Amino acid sequence: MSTFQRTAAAILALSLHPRGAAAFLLLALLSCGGEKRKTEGQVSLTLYHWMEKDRKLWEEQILKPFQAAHPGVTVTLQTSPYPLYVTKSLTSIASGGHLADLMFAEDWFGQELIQKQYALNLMPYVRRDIAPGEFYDETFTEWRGVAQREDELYGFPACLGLTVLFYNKELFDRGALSYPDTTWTYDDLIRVGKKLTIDQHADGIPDQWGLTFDVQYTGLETVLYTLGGRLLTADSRHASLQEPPTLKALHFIQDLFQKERIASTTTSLVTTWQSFIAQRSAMILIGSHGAINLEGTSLRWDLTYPPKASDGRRMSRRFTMAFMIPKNSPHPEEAWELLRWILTKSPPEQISTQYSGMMPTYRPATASGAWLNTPPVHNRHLLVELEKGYSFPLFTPGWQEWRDNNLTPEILQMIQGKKSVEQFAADAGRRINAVLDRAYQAR
Amino acid sequence: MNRIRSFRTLEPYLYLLPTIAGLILFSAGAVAASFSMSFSRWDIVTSPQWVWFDNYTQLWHSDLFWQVFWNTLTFVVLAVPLSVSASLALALLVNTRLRGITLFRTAYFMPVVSSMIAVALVWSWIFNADYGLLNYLLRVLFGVRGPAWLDSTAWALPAMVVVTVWRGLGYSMVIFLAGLQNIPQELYHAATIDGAGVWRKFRHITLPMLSPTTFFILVITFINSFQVFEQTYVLTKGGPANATLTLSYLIYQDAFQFFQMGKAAALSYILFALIFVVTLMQFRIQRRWVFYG
Repeated sequence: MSTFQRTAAAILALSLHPRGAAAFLLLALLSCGGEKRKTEGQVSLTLYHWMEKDRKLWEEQILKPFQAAHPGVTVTLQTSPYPLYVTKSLTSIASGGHLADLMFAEDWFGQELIQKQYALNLMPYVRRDIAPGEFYDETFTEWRGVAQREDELYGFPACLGLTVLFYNKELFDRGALSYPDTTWTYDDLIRVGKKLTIDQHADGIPDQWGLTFDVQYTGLETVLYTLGGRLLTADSRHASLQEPPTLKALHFIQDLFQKERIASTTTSLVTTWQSFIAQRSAMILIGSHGAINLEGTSLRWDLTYPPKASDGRRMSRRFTMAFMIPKNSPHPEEAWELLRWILTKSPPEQISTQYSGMMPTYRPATASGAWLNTPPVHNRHLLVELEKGYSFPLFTPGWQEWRDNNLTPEILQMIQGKKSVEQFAADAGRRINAVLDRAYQAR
Repeated sequence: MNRIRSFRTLEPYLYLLPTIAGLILFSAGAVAASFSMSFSRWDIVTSPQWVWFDNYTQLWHSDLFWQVFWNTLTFVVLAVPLSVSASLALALLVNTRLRGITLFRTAYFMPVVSSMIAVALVWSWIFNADYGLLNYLLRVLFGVRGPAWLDSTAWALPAMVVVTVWRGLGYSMVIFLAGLQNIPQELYHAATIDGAGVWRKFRHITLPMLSPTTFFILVITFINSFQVFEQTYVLTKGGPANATLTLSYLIYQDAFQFFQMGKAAALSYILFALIFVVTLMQFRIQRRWVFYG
C-alpha cells in the first residue's frame, strides 16, 4: 500500500467513526485559524444575541459603560438576524468552537441546551448576588430544566412575553363597539367577534374577520388551559389531548372557526400579523412579543387580557428569553457580571426597545415610567398584572419539532373541519408522544 | 539518472496534490463523515452514539417522512415537465434573427441571476390572497375570487412549482438555444424542399437533433427539483401544515432546528439514493431516444 493509499485509508477510517469525524472536522476548522481570546491581564468576553437593529444602542449604552466600570474586561458583541440565531448557534457548537461567554436564547431553545448540558448552572451566582424578589423569579421555572431542581438554573430570564388580546381601535370605532377590557369572557369575544366579521362582497367569504387566533401555540394553549383543558400531562412527558375537559376546550376552538365563524384558518395559521396589520382582523389573540410587528405602522391598537372563562378562570401562556453562560466559557464570573449589568443597569429608556413587546423580569424596570410610558403607549401595566396572576409556561425538549411538524398540521385539519376533534386529539397526541418519547429518551 | 526519473514519475502527482488534498478534506472526508453520521444519533451538543440503522428505520415508520417524500415527488413530477417544455418553447421563440432579440433573451435570463429573496418578495406579493396581482386579475377578468395561494394546503405546492419553473426558465432556455443553433440548417432546407411543414420539421428534425441537449436539461432539472430548498425556505418554510415540506427542507429542519444531525444525514442519503436511481434510469432510457448523430 502506498503512502497516499495509507493516508487516504486512515482519513476514511477516522471519518467513519463519529468521534473521529468530529476530530477531523475540528482539525480542519482549527487549521483555518482562530481567534486569540485572551491577551495578557485582559479578559475578553463575547456576547451573542439577535437584537441586531439595536446594535449601536447596546454598544453605546450598555457595553461601553460596563467596560468603563470594569477595566480589564472587553466585550465583543456578536449579533445575527433573529431567524438565524439557532442555526448560527448550532453550527458554532457543532464545530467545537466557542460561541460566546454570554448568549441570549428563547425558552424552547434553552430547553434543548439545558437537556444537553451545555449551560452553566447559575444558581450559586444567583444565591450570592441576587436579592429575593428583585426579579420575577417564577420565570425561573422554565430555566431549571425538566428535572425542576431548586438548586439548578441554567438561564437567567431577562424578559417575558404573555398571551394577550390585541385589538384594532379603528375597527371597533367603525362598528361603534366598546373596546375589549379585562372583564371580557370568551362569550364576549364571540359576541363582538361576530359583529366585527364582515362580508362586504356578500360572497360567503368575510373580508374582515373578528378574530385572528394563534392556533400554533400562544392562543391555542391559553384557551385550552383557561377552559380547563391541557396540552400535556403534568410531567410534560405525554400529550393529554383526549381528556374530557381538553376535548371540550378543543370543541370550543373548532367552533370559533366552523360554527361561530369569527376566525379564518388562513389568517390564524399563516398570515397572523399581516392580516391584523392590514385590518383584515379586528382582534388577535397571540403573544405580546408580536408587538414588534406593529412598530412603524400607523395602526391604532392596544392590548388587554385574554378573555376569561365563564367561571372566572383566566390563563395566559408565558414564554421567556434568558441569558445563558455556556459551560465552556473561560470567564464565567465576568460573564455573570455582564449578565447582571445588562439586566439591572440598562438605561430605562432603552428597555422597551431592547425587549420590544416583552416585559423585563427586573421588577424595578417594570415599575419605571420609562418602560410603562415609552411609545407606542399601550396597556403595558396589564402585562405585569397578567404575569403575576395568570401566567403559565409550557416547555419540553423537542418542542419545536412536535409543534411545527406534528401538532400544527393536525390542528389545521381540525379547524378546517376536515377532522373531528376526537380524531384530532388521537392523531395529534400520537404524533406528539412519538417526538416526546424520543426527546426524553435522548437525555 | 534514476532520481530524475523517479522525480519525473512523481512530478504530476505533486501538481495534483493540492487538488487531491482539497478533495479528501472537503469532499471525500465530508461525504464519509456524513455517511457515518447517518448511523449515529447526534444532537450536535453531546457526543454522537452509534445506532446502526435506527435513523433509517425511524424514517421508514414516520408518517411525516412519507408525506415529505410524496411532496417532493409531486413537486418533481410537476416542475420537471413544465420547466423543460416551457424553456424549450421559449428557446424556439427567441431563436430568431429579429432586431432586439438579445434584449428579450437577457430579460428571460434575468430571473436566474436575481436574488431568491427579491424573487420571493415579488412572488409573495403576486400570490397574496388580498392584494396580489394574480387574484386581482382573476377578479377583474373572470370575476373569480382566487385562493390564498401560498397559504393554502392545496395550492401552496403548485404555486412553488410556478416560481421554480419561472426562475429556472432562462438557464434551460440558453442551453436549448445553443442546441438549436447547432442544428445544421441544411436539414431544414432539405425538409422544406420535400414539402415538410413547421410541425413535421420540429417533430423529425428539431426534437431528435436536440435530444442530447434535452437529455442534459432533463437530468439537471430532475436533480435540482429533488433538491429544492431556497423556494421552500423563503416562500413557505414548509407550510402551511407541511404542505410544501420537501426532503431538503426537512434535512435542514432536522439538522439545525430539531437537533437531529444523524437523522438529517440519513435523510440526505435517502435523497441521494433517490436522485441516483432516477438519474441512472434516465441514462438507461436515453439509449432509446437520444440521438447523437
